[in-house]
Amino acid sequence: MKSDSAWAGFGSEYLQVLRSEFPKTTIWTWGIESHEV
Amino acid sequence: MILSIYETTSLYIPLVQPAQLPSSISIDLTSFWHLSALFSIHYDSMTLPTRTRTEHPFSLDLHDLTARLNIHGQRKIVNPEVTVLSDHATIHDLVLMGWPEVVGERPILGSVLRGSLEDPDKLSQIFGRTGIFSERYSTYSHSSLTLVSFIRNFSLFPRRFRKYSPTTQDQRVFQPLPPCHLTLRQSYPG
Repeated sequence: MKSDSAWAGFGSEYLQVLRSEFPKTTIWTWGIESHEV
Repeated sequence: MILSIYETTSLYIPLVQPAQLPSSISIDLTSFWHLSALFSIHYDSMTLPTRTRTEHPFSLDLHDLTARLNIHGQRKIVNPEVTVLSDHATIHDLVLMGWPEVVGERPILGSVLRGSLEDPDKLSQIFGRTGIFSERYSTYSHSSLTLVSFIRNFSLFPRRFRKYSPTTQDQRVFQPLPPCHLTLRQSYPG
């Protein structure tokens, strides 16, 4: 996900849904970030 | 926002646009298309153990990989690195994509080899910040936790590969593998 834009909000919500569905599953997150930030 | 992600995820890998590139890579950093190729080298290489067949000795699932990277359970951030190696590999081939202001996180390195290579140990020496590698923990018995923390992708594969003594049946499995010790994943757009 693009983790320094509004997509981070979407992504984190999505992760929470995933996590509540699969409490023990390993989840890797790749956060694409801009150079300037 | 990032805190929320951090709490939920098992491993967070920041992919920051690198500040400078080695001379071996020539891409347009303003282009998302080009940049995504760089990112996917890392993505592809790092997740490769999860896609290999389980009979291979270097097959790992995401959980095992995470356990080796995040040994204390709560250090979920790693430093992604990428190299594209030619015949003469140097430390300058390394592209750092982690957070520049955060140092000391575990590096995980995805690499593409585009040349021939005789001695994998030499690569380990070039790219290891400490010269210590995860797969040496049986040789160097002291402080194995530290060693595991310097996990590197391409040293992980060959060492496991070597230490594993294949049976006749396994040799059949290994036979089709290319002689070079790195698995090539190339993801440049055409």
